[in-house]
Amino acid sequence: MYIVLVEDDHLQAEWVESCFGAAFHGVKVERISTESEFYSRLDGIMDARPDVFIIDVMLRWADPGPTMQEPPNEVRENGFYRAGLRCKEKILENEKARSIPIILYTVLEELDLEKALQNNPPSVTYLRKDSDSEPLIKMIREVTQR
Amino acid sequence: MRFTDYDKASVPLTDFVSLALAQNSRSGLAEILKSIAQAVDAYGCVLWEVAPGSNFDADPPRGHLFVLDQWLEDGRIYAFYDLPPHSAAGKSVLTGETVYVEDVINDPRVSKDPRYLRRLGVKTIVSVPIIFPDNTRRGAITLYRTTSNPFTEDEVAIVEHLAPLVPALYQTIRVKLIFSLTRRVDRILNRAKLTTHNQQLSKEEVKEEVGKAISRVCATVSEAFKCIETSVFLEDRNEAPGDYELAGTTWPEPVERTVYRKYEKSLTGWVLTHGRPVRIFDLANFERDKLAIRRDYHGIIWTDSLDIKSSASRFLNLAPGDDLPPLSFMAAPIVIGGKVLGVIRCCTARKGPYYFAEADLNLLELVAAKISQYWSDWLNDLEMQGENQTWQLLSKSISELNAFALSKLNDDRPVESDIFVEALRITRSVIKGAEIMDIRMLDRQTNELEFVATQGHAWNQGSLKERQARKEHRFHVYDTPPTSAGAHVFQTGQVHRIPDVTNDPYYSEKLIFPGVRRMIIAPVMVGKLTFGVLDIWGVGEQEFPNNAVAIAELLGQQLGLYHYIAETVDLLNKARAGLAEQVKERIQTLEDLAHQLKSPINQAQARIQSAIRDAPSGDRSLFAIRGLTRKAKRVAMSTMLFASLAGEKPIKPKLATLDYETAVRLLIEAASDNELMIDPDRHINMMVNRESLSVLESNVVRVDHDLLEQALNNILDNAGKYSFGNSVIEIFGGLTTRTHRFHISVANVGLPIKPSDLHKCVERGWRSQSARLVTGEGSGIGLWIVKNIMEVHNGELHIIPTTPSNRTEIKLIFPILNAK
Repeated sequence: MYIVLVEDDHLQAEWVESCFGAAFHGVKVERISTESEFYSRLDGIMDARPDVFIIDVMLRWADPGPTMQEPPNEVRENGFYRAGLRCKEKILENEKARSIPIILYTVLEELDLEKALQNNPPSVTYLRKDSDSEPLIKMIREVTQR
Repeated sequence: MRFTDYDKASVPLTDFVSLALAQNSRSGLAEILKSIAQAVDAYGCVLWEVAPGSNFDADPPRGHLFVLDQWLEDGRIYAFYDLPPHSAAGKSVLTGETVYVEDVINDPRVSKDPRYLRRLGVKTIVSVPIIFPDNTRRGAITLYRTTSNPFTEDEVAIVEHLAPLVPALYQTIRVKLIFSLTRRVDRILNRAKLTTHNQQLSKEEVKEEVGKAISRVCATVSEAFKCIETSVFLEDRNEAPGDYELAGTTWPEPVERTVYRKYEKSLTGWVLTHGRPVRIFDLANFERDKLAIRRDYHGIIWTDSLDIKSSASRFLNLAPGDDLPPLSFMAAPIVIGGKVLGVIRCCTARKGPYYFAEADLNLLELVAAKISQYWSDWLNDLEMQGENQTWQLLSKSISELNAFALSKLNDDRPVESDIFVEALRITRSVIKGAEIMDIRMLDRQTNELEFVATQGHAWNQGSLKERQARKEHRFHVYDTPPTSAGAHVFQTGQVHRIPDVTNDPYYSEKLIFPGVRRMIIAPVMVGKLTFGVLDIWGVGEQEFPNNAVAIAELLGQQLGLYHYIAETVDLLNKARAGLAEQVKERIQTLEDLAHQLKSPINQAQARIQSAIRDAPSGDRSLFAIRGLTRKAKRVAMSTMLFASLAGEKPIKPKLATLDYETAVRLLIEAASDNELMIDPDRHINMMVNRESLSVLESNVVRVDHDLLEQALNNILDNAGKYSFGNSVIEIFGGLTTRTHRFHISVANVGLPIKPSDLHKCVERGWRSQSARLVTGEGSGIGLWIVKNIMEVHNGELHIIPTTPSNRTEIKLIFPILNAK
């Protein structure tokens, strides 16, 4: 199992990875921690054809650095609040990656994302973050076995 | 000049005519009579006219003759003015033929009372009848001789030839008089106009010049008509409407009556009332001739309040036994545009011609016309000046009213009626004739106008019950058609001027003030919104000035604006009170939630501390849990502090001495917990310089430990978020060099803080654009809370701007109490 985890909170990511390790034998977790990193690594990831994307909706743009990449206008205008949704759109635009399941894993309520979740293809699902990893594990099994 | 030979009369005749034409005043008639007398060597020559109202054609003839003018050789006055029809002169008029009386004493054709003849020593009389140019008036020229030689036939013939010329020549003199007099009056008035326009004169000086001009006109008219009195009475409608005050006179004594009004029982009052001229032949015989006079002047009354006969006797210097000449009177109205501005009157000629003819009255009317134009122009100038002053006064008053309204509207509970009362006071000061005023505003519940402010004594008249009933009166506004003038104005939004309330289709406000004569009603409105009406009532003579409507409209709009603002302020105050209530509620909720969080977090931390002590070293999970709970506690604390500060509740620190060990522990715990929160892939470490805190061993610093922990964690959290990868965040302490205070500093290499953003960093809710890109979450209150924490410690938060190598330092500076 090859999972791409887009998550900027390293503690959250560590915990989730440890849960995957226990649940999926031989799982490989590719972690992406910022939106800018996602865009720069997407093509490479597509070529590797992961089994599922798990994407946090609220993502920071980049880590601070002396040569920080400038964000596009959409990011400046709309901020980090829906960064994960932008990543999702990028995946769906890509012919090779379009059919790969995407789980939007977030603290936001489904109602907060109502409009964003409309008109999505069946490959996109939503799951609220919880202290219990079981719902996530279960959903990964479901979407990867379809 | 003498006519000694009739045949040669044609040459001297031209001289006679030239002499006559050279005359330019009424007294020129005497010169003509003189030349006739001298032509036939007569003692005197008298021109008689049949008195108005006489009927010499009746049987028996009625009336009398009177002296029009005269000349006597020794300069005496022929002091007998009233001849009956059966006198020599009368007979000549009756028969239309010359009457020659050779023996005055014994001739029965001479008047039965020849005392005047005896006094003068008259022996013979020749009387020749004449017709005046209008072909209706008749008269005679009578010559007297005091010597015993009678008039010869030639002499009589000369008189008969010259006499008929006299009326025509006199007419010529009159025409010249007309030109002369009107020209002189023009000159006087034009000069006066120039003087008052060109010079910077005060109002009083201008009025004095006007008075002088009118007086000069009176003197000129008196001189032209040779009369004792010429007086002019004029109305200044700006000062005293309805009063016609004396503006100039030639009456030799102080004038008893200086003011006349219309409808008074007097000759002058009649002229003012009817706007028509009056000419009375002989005031001394007013009662006798009353019927005839009243046929021409219906209802005219004269009471002789001045005792005209005594006055005339005094002024004419009559000898005892002398008769009075006709005390003639004429008066012409001074009119412009149908409005009577005043009257000019003349009375009592001091020498012949002794009465005022129709032509004289016509001339007086011409003079009146000149005065009317002059006076009207002057009044209009005054009105314009008055209007300008009124606008200036209004402008100043509106500024003051605006300032007053602003002060009232700024009150916590603005009282609108104060503004209304002040506005009414201004209305009264700028609109002349505004005697009663009020403001009626719409009651939205009942759709009626109700009185909300009033001004004027009339509001306080009557019993308490009457006063109350007056103020409680209401007017429906939406009836169709409107049932009051106020409703009409409210519906149309237009100013309504009522010059005569008895003649207005909407006016029903008479219920309030029955005696009102005129009214102006202006809408109280702003834009298309009407809130009420402003009423201005006039009771007395004073008309509203021309600009009253414009002023009322302007004031109505000002009042509308104030009312609109007052309503808006009221709504805002209510909304603010509501919002304040909501904010208070939210703050209380936040405080409550933060309190609820704090306790379980403290407990969780405590248990984790125990677990860490007991657990094998390097158990990352426990440290992570401690870091997460510390973060949760920090967020709860921030929430509580935010709620307090937002609700303007002060933070009350619990101060305790900060010793070296405690400081090291606090810093190391904060550093390790915050370091754990940083993604290890970024390779960022936090280093505490313990040595630098040794200054606490010799200096007393008191802090609230919880608040210090909060401040440190906020700063370290920022440092962790904004530092570049592969860097070290330094934490150290020490004493400040200049001010010798204790500081704890955090320095990192990361996102720069621009000098222009230094002051913004500590503002509530602010985050730089680059900060937003690298953190995602964050409310921008971290440093704002730190600043407030330092303030309650009497300390400072100091941010040292980023150096070129991207190093930023943040200092928490605490006062030192005393050295240990």
